[in-house]
Amino acid sequence: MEQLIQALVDGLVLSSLYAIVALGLTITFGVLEVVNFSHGQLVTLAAYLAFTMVTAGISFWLAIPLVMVCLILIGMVMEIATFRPVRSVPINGLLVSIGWIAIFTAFIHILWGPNQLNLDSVFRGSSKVLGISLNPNNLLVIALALVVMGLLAVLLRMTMIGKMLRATAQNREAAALLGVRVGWMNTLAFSIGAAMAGLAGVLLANLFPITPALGDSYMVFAFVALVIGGAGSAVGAVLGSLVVGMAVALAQTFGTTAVASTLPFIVLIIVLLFRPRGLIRTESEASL
Amino acid sequence: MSTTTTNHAPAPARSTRIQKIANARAPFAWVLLIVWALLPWIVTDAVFLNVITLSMVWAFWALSLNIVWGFAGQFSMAQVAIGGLAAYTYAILATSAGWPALAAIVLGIVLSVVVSILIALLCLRLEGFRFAIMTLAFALAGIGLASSLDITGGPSGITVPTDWPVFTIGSLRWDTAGVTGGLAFTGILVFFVLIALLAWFLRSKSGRAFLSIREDSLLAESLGVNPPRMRVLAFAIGGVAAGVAGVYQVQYYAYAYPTLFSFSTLVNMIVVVVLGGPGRLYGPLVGGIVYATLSVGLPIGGDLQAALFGAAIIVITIFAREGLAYYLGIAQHRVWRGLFGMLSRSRRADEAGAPANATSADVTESSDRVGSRDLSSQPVVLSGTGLQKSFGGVTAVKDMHFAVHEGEIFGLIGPNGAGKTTAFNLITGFTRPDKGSVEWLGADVTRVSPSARARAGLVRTFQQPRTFPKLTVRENMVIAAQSAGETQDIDGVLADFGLAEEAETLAGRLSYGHSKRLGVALAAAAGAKMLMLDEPAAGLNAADIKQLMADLVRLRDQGRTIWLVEHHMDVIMHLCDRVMVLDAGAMITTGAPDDVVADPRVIEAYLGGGRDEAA
Repeated sequence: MEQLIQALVDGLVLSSLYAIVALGLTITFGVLEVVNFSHGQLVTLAAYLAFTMVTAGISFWLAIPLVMVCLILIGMVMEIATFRPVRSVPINGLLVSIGWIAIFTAFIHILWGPNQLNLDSVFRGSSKVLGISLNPNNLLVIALALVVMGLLAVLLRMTMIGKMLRATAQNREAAALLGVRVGWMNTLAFSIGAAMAGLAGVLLANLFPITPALGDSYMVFAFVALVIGGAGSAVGAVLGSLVVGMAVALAQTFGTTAVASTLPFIVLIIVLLFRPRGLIRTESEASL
Repeated sequence: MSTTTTNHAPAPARSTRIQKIANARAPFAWVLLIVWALLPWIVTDAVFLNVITLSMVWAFWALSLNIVWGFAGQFSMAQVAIGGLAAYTYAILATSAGWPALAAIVLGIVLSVVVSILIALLCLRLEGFRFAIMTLAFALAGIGLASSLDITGGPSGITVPTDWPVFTIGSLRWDTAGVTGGLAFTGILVFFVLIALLAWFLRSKSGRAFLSIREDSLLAESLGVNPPRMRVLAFAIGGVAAGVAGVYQVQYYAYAYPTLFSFSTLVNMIVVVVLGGPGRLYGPLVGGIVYATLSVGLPIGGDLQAALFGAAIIVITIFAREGLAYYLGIAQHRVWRGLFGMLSRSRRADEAGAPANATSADVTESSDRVGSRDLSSQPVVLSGTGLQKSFGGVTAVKDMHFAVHEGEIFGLIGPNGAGKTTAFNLITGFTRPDKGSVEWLGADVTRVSPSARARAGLVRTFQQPRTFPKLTVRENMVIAAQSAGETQDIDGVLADFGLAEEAETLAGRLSYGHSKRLGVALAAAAGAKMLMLDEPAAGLNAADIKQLMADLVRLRDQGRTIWLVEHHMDVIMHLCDRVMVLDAGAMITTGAPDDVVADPRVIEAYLGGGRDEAA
């Protein structure tokens, strides 16, 4: 029983990490209709940036916004210089993002080397509550994921910018005709996605050893979550992340690592066989 | 000279002429291949031989991706896993199980094809990025398995046999170590064979159908091409190439280990296809040569190289999507023209000599109705019984009944939102009814796919003109005709439709009216016994409408039945034998055109009833 509850708590932590990555992907996909396969490299890059900042003496709490700002700048450059010129054909966006994977991977190797780096966690030790071990670093992940979801909901539903983003996602032409600068909405959406990758990277650096492949599995499982949940839907992204996070945590506790690494794909295949558009069906492909 | 087009690049902005040249079966490419095949015999320098062999490793990988993506439009990331399966099968059977190497390779490739087909079947209902991610999931699961299983040797991998029979032909020593001519030449030979088979296939009728699903899957389906079958076929052929690639790669490294089939292999494969140009027959070879030469020759570290190739994908995607093979084709043409100026000039003269514009729309003004005939004694070809369809609580079509007789032109009219399009989609199979059934030639086709209905002779057109824009008008017709399964006089049909002069034009460059006309011609060429026309006159000018009416009368006189959804009442009144009127999903009346327009319920539907959506 305790083992099960522990697995569920661990699953919640994983789900939160997946959700942060998946929400970043959803926003980018929803507005730009581009699947950014280099999102995982952005997460990894953010983890390394956090490492460099914290070892240079910057406080972890300050590093969070600083890394996010760095990622926003990188995201803006990526969008304006490379994604914008190929906007008319979505598959080209996919190709461009694959090019970025190679570039980021190479530069991470060159700048930080291939060996793993360790950042001291911001909180030490963990407490036991009713036999369940609660690591405050993990709780931080869950808390920040909830904050991000809340902020995102407020941004998308309540602000003018958010409404313009959603309008662009739902019908670009109509939005453009009504005076929305859809080009800047693309840049904005990409930057928000990059910022989310930044947050995920800092949190990962606080939890795990940093390696050049750190973000890869998170991006892949976030993709799986996105497809399971229903792409283009923020609610779907969170729901899918819960499914994947819980599946991985349960498989890690009660199965082997091999099971844990393949179970999400099996869930994906089963879900897509019965609901090809995911659990949450959106009206159009991209709608937010 | 070389006018048979075998490969097609996405280059709508180029002129037709350049396009044709670049598409042409390039003698240059054959020269390249022959020189390439001779190199291993001439060159003995180890570094150079290494480059040649490495080129072939990447050419094979790229070939497999080019088949599924470049030719069939399915961006599959599973190719590494599919190739890895063949490679590991070969390694395991030939070393631990003691099989003869060739037998192990063949079984490995067969397994690759089987798994490739299975993956295609599992991904059949997915489109676009979902498809890409699902295939990526298979790739990652495969890599995960390879590095965790005992039988594959885990992360360190297993050896492959290198004790192939050794013999010498001239300067070529035939063995299997990575840097000798034997492996290089074997690779080139196998590549030759695969390319020749592929070229032969693409020129065949099913090869055209194969290309059509990349261009426009929905249109292909309406013309009787079965897209799922074509996708599975693409994966099967791509599986062969991937299997060969996997085996060749582990033979080159003399070792099978997971890193060879990792995500970076996938990225490099994409680099090579993009370099060479997706959808070009020789693209993988050109890309492979460039990639291997740069990766061996560039005096910079592996990381910088990787970054450079990444940047290359981005730059090529933005600025030169046609890839290197396209520009080689252009360069070849320039050289060719320089060498054989006469030939080129005479060809230009031919083109200039063609009549600029032939009159095709010489239909005489006729106010006589050609319709309004009573055909009730003719057999019923198409009938619907109690058809019903709702979308989220709104009933788009309710309790619809009809029976269309052979040779009839049957009109369907109604105000906007009456359910005409839904009815149309129910009959053609693009939507499944909630209730009721559709019978075509006495058989219940309610649950039959659109492409199967098309092959049975029930063919639709689209309201927005749908053609395969990057294929010529004639190639469009060839694709349509292949599902009819009979040889047709395509030039004759094009002449009937007044499209003869544009036979070699890319369909995407036709005017709006002409591309709609081509849509009707495609449906006819697809062997339509009955044409389902969705607003064929919408957006046409008067001359094009006149030509359309003449076309439809001719098609009718050829014995075809026609179902016509149309807003142009003059077209309806002129052509139709009977007209059915829909309003708010319900049938109001069916009858001769004159009776129908005089019916007060019809007038009310269009004008009255407090509705403000008169058509």
